[in-house]
Amino acid sequence: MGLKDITISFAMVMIFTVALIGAGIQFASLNNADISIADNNEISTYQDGTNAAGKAYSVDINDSLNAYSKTSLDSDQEAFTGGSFLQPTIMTQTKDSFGNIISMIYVHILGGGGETGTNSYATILYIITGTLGILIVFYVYKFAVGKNPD
Amino acid sequence: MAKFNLELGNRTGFDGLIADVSTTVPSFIPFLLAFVFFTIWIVGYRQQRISSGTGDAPLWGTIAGVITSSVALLMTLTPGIINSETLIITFVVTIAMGLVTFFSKDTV
Repeated sequence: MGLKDITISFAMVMIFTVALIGAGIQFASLNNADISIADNNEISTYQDGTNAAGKAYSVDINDSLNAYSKTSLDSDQEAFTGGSFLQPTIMTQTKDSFGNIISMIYVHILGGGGETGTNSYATILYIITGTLGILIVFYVYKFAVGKNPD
Repeated sequence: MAKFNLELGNRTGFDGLIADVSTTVPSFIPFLLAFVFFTIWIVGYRQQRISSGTGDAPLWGTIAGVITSSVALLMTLTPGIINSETLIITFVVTIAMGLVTFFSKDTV
């Protein structure tokens, strides 16, 4: 998966999230439903954040495309060796929206948010470091015995 | 204490019946939605594997999530069937499945 695929995947996830939550909010609004997904303030915050990141994303892309199309080269000038005018801001916006989505998943599915106890970031860190520990043992075994740890 | 011959509420109709069951057994709706989600996911994935040889599990998870979210949205029209936490978890599970789907393959 290259940079092109990752960028498109970020954009697709952004569109999917905004569309799904927006449909849920509009459904409740149009039908006067008693329960709405917007009842939770955090969901509205995530929706607004992802929406703003998506709009800023499109504006940044337009700016980058304008910069690209208005670039000119003199006859004795060397050609560009990289797309430096395309790089920074687009990934910043996708990162912001991705952070929103990950926070939403972490808080509402994994039960995160607390600092102590079972509902804490520490649980996930324990799992990750435990897995790394197992991998280290495997590689020490591979080094010592000379076999493939798989 | 177990309740036998439980009296139904004064609500009529099928949605009233579901609302009364949901009020008495709060875990009924989450389990019903989980049943819908996993049934569509597993059956769709297996059917695709049988028909084409390979199955796309993340894609079927996303499809199952969208359908489950639609069912959960319909449940919000009658008060007392579903609570907001269950609704939000359904949506977030769908978004998580979409995230896995879009990052699980080359999109172009």
